[in-house]
Amino acid sequence: MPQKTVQKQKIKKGGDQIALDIIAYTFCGLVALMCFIPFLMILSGSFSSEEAITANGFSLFPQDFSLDAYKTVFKEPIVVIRAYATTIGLTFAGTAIGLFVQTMTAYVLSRRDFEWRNGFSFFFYFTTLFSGGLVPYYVLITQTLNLRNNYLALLLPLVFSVYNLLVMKSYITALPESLIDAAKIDGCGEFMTLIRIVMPLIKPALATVGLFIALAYWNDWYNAMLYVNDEKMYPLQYFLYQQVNNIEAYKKLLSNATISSSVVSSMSLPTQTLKMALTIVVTGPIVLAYPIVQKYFVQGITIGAVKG
Amino acid sequence: MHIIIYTQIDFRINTGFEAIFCLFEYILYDFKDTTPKVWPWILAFFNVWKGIGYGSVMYLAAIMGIDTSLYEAAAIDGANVFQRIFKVTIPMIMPTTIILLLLSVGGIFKGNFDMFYNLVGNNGLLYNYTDVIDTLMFRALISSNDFGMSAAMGFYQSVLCFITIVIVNKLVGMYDKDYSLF
Repeated sequence: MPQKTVQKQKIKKGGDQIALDIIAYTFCGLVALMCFIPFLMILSGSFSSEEAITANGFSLFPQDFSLDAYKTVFKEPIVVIRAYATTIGLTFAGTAIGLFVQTMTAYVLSRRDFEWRNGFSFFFYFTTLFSGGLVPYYVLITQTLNLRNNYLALLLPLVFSVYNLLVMKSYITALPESLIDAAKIDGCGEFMTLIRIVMPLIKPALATVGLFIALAYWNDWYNAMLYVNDEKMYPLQYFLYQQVNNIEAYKKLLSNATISSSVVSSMSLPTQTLKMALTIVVTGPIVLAYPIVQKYFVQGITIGAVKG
Repeated sequence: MHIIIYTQIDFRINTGFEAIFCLFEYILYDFKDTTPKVWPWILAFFNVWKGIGYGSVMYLAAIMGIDTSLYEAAAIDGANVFQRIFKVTIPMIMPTTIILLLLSVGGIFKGNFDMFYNLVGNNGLLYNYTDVIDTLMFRALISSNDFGMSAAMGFYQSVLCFITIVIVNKLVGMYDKDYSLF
């Protein structure tokens, strides 16, 4: 049989589609610019010299190109690399565990035949409003669970977050219930239903919540400040915080000293540019998180799943 | 990630250099310190700016979950693009929107302590217009060392928060039982 070549037909865009295109591109372009320009300023600030920043303020392009700030950050590269390794390890492990636990909880809370789901939801949500405060939390982790200077103290607090749970729950509730009924009829147990049927259908929600958990682990310095004394276990953000504090303390010491030669050196200590350089070093890897996750934002997964 | 925006804005406001990209801010520039009334709007604007990233990812995930055959059916029935947006997309992401709304209502009384405290700094003129319960509690604690009063303020804030959420939840529940949180 002769092969027929398919002709590609070009569908002409209607007027309303063109109007939407103009509005959408303008608005998204503006918002993207608003989000990108601060980052560009930080990038250019980290490559400028301290005197130029103090004299002229920030600008879009590096003034008086110098690598002083980066040299100060990387003076002991082993410390930076160890902090990176700690944070990356925590992020991967925490995201995997957290995503699994939160999906299971959201699945249970979204099933309409679970009678106590309102009670449980209230219990979860109540904790976001009223919390016991910092002191009981600290006592729980250091004395009851004895997790001082332990990686678990950095991992466990962020594994479960009620905000992510609610997003996931609303997503699973939007799936047609007949899918789960069909699985039950075919003899599928609860856990298999979750893994085989529900999880592939909620890929965008998994990607979103995974991204949020990863960001929470990457940005976390508070738990390190409270529970960790060992320098080998500092995550990246806490390391940044320490560096900034060290430089500020050093500057204060120098300004109080009466030796005139030290005044000259305190001017060239990079403080603002150091903050910029540290910010770039710390947010460098996580900027790549969204492109990796982007392929899971797939549209229309439930097409044709329910007929009639 | 807050550090990026705070350092940027902190420096610009404190040392008085021109805003490069925000024409709105440039126009109001002289008023920023002399007209404290503008500050609630400025703080709201920065809060929105900060939340754009997270918010767009969540709404993107919600919109990706909509069945594409609904759009095709609407197009066949003669809906143009804008009608498809208002009649198909928006109703289908209503559950997610309502959840996010309820969570934000919970945050009304909390305010955003980090950002407000750092943006306002020690500028006494602005306290009347920019202090929320959290920052007031912190300042009272630092200046008067009265733990009892600060703890009472914190408790008061939690109670108000709780009452607001229960009321809003009931209202949403009256509209559609499935949308309410508990």
